[in-house]
Amino acid sequence: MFSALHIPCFALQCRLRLTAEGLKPSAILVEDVTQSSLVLEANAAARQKKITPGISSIQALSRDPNTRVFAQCPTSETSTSRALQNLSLGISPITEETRPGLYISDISGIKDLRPKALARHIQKHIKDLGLSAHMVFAPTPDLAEFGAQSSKSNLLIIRDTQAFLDTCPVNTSCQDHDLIAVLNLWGIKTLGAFTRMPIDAVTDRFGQTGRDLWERAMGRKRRLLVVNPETPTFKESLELEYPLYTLEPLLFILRRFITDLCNQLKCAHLLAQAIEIQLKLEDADPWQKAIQLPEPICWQDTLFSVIEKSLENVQIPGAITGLSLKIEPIEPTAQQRQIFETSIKNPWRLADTIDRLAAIVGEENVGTPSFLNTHRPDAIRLKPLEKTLEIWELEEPEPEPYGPPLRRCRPPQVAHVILHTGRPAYLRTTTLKGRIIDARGPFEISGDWWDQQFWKQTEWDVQLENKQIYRISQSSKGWFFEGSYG
Amino acid sequence: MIIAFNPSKSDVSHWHATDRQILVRDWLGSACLELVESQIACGAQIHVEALLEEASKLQSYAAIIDTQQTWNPSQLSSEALRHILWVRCREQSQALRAADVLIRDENFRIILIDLRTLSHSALKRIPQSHWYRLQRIAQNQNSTLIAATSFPSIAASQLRIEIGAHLDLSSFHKKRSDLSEHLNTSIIRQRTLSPQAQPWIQISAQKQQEAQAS
Repeated sequence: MFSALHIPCFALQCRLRLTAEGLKPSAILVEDVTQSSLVLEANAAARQKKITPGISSIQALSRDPNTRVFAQCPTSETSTSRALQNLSLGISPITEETRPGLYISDISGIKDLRPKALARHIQKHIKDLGLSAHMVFAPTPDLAEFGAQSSKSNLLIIRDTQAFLDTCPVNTSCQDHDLIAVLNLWGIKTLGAFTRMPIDAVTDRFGQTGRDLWERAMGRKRRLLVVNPETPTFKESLELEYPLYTLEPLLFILRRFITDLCNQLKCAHLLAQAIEIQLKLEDADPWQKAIQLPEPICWQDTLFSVIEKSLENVQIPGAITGLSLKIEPIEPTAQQRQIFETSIKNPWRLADTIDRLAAIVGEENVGTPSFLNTHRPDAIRLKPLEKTLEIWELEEPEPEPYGPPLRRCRPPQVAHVILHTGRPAYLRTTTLKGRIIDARGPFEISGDWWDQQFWKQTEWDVQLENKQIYRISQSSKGWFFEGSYG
Repeated sequence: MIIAFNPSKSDVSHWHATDRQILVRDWLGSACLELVESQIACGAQIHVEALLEEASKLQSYAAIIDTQQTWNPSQLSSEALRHILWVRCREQSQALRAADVLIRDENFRIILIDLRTLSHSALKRIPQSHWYRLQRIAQNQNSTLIAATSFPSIAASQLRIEIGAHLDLSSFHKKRSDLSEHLNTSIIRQRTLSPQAQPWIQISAQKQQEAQAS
């Protein structure tokens, strides 16, 4: 069994999906918007007004002045074509893009095939793309193609081949105009009537072209589908005619990119896990930024919001002459939360909060503290907050600390200390001074003796006359005020 | 929660671990809390770190806005540290802006802003409307804002706890939990409370009355 997904007037529909008006009003597609340009495609409403492909645009407008005239949009065609290809690949990996707007898939491997349910699923995605399509299910790829070209309903399931051929017009099934003209003279309007002729007689009269059409219609010659071996990529790019200097027009283009890429992702049943933006600059090296998303998603508003925020405070050295947006896809994975684990309620909100905090205090000043692999005092780095925390099963409970906690002075202040019998007796820093009434120490600590980062210091806990407790330290660089306790 | 109250220890200055658990659990998601350090190195940091430990036991994320980068994370347990977002600021304005951002994030149930290094005049310069606004947002977001200050200065605080104690070098021989029980901790303001917070306040009020009577 084969399925065909056909978008009638593909180029026109690709152009119309960029507008909000849809397919219903009369519309035609021309090469370029001039009076002499020829009509390439016309929708059903236009054809009712006797506007057919091949006439000039001025003729078309004379037949219906309300007809909307559109020029071709190759970027929209490419993007839509990719989305449809992904959608077809979702049905079956053996999918052929017969021509733009016609995709034939071999669905013989699908178990318990329910064509109507499958067609509903595909039509839903097609509707989301802003298109209208015909779905055909047929026993051979050629019949599927014939059905797609001749069908007037959204769904056609060919079970009785001869009955279908009796209704299939011959002029939509063959590109050879001479053959069609002769058949029309003979009064043969359908493929059913054509296939009732003996094959030898058809071969004698029409040659190989006629024989091929006969065999294809009867299913005697089954062709192989030409599968595109390339892995689908989710990338949109644009070379600009005029350079951009501000953010707004750039965001306008990026919004379109995101919409197209999200549609492609949805059709391929994938999610975005990272975004890469590249800007080509005038008289400067390209600027690029990679954004890792907190969770894989396919929501265009959220993705656009992430991009918008990441570009808000960016300053680039030149005008933008081109841009590209690439999305790294990932397959959705079902994940069940554990009952006792801690998890972030809203990872998107958290990512937004972290970005805002980084803008206020700097990226290096936001995060969860983690300790470096050293005993050096205050050797801490900040790492991103974990979004899901599993319960730790500690072999031994961590020992309870003794004494009041230290509040550090960062960086340690230079201190002046007077010793009496080898113990600190007086402390003076830029912020405090006083006689030391009691002291604990010395606590000698050192580490990293095996490399050049060797460090060694002697720490004292001292209490001044004001009853406050402080930590001071002595190293080869002198005395330092480390912080206060409590 | 009533079970946690030990009537034999009626001294209001003894703030037991169970009290603190009740405090954290009841006040989570309801209020603006001010923790006043009446003098430097009086033990307020012990309470701050204990509150963070309690938050992690409740599987909640907490954020610390460190106005002058004084917080020393090495004294907190590894488990508690995983739940903490540390925001290191350089000046007061950064801390207030960071609080404004964090309080709107429903992922954090406790936001602790450490303003103890600010001078009296600097604290007074922060408009009270700012605190009222944060308090309203905290209530809507089901989060708790804890402001650690060096003297009472936040009119919007619904609970103000003052801590004053003189620690000496002998305290280095005591466990942190023992130390916290001997800090002079007193409630100097109670205002509109969430219904969930009532049991703890009843216990505290009872303790205060008993202390005054004795």
